[in-house]
Amino acid sequence: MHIPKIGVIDYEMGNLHSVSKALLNAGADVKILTEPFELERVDCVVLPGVGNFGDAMQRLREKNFEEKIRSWILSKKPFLGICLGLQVLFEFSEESMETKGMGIYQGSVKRFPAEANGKKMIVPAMGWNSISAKKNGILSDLDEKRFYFVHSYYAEPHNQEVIAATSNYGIEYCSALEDDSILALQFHPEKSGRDGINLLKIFIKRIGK
Amino acid sequence: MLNKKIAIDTMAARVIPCLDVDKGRVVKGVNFVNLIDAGDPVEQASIYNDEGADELVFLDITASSDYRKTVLDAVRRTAESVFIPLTVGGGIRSVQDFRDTLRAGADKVSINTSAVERPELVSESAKTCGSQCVVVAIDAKRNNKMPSGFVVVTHGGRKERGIDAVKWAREAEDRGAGEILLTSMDRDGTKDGFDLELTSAIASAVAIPVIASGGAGSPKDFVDAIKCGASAVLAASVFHFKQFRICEVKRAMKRAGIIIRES
Repeated sequence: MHIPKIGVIDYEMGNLHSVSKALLNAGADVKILTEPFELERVDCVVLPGVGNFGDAMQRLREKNFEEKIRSWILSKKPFLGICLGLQVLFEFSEESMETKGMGIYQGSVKRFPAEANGKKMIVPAMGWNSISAKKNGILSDLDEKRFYFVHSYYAEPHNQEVIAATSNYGIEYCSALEDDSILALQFHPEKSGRDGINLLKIFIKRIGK
Repeated sequence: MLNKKIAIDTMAARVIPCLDVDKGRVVKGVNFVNLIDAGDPVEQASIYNDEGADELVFLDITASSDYRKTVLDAVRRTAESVFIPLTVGGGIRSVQDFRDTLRAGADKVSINTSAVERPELVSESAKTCGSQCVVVAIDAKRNNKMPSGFVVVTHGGRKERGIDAVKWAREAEDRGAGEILLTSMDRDGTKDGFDLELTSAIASAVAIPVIASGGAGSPKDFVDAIKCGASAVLAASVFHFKQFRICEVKRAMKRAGIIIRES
């Protein structure tokens, strides 16, 4: 197995540092990508991101990353989206209806309801939640493990085939997406202790093959 | 794979140890006096991580801002080796401070006095950095003159601000805070348990997570705070002085039917 070169996209939306260090810890060779052309120099692209959906899309467009990422994903090259990096793959988000997402996957991003099962919902959903992983998917060995989440919105893919894991927070929702060599996570593997690092190791091993 | 059934609760209640950091070193003391050097923050963070901490809080208690860089360096080194969420507070006064702290590797930044004195800082930082990283720390004390019975205090409880604590919590939420770190200054350092009335008053008034703090003296105290609506519980000295361990708190929670993260 060769050590894959992983590029983390720097578009000034969140904790690049933690993501890079976690990938490094999991055995990858990590490069920070500040320009779109740099994608050509790596085996795999990671899109992190915390904050606002509209801001994230705007930054990706201003920095000309959008088209590069789209063709990268459409050609099924290894990709990992984290948190907002999952949400921006969809068509639009209730967080900022005026800004379109990348629309690579059909579906939208919705806000958690204010109330569920007759109880007030605490939003953002913040903390360690478990995932229920699809059998034979990339996350199947991590079924029922807990990961760190912090989000107020969740993605609702039209095509349920791409759902790699679901989680419960008032409702049951898609907490991970898998499509060929594309993986996108609503939670933060870089903040999820040992299981988070294990997940990254599984991902790196797969792309190193 | 989604079957649209009623989802059962699976989110775990969080147990958060707080490290007091002075000039880049962890210190232990009672009520900020007789401080003893207790080592490197990275080492201590790593020990708590191994013991099952769900998150970590660094509270920079250095009086002088000359040491800002030292704290950020400790944050950086911690974030490089401990892969759980880290909140950093103390001395944050501007959006630039927010940015610097996040860039060093913090996931959340807590603001206290500076937010009371200039509430716009909550909105500005939420807009710039995202609500998920804005923690408004509220120190409160009992006061019958306030509608809720609790007043906001600053300067370690010495200065009453004449603001109702519940009203301030709601304003912080409206301005975009992602979480509230609530400390009872009546209970802080007493080990008499969290102020449950305060916890419940704030948790029922807002729809963002509330971390209960101040007064933990036994594992059962943590259970009570969660039952009163807190999403997380925080303590410093009981963990520092090894009065009991994080795993004992979690065991008590589990016995009480509270969902926890086993590690």
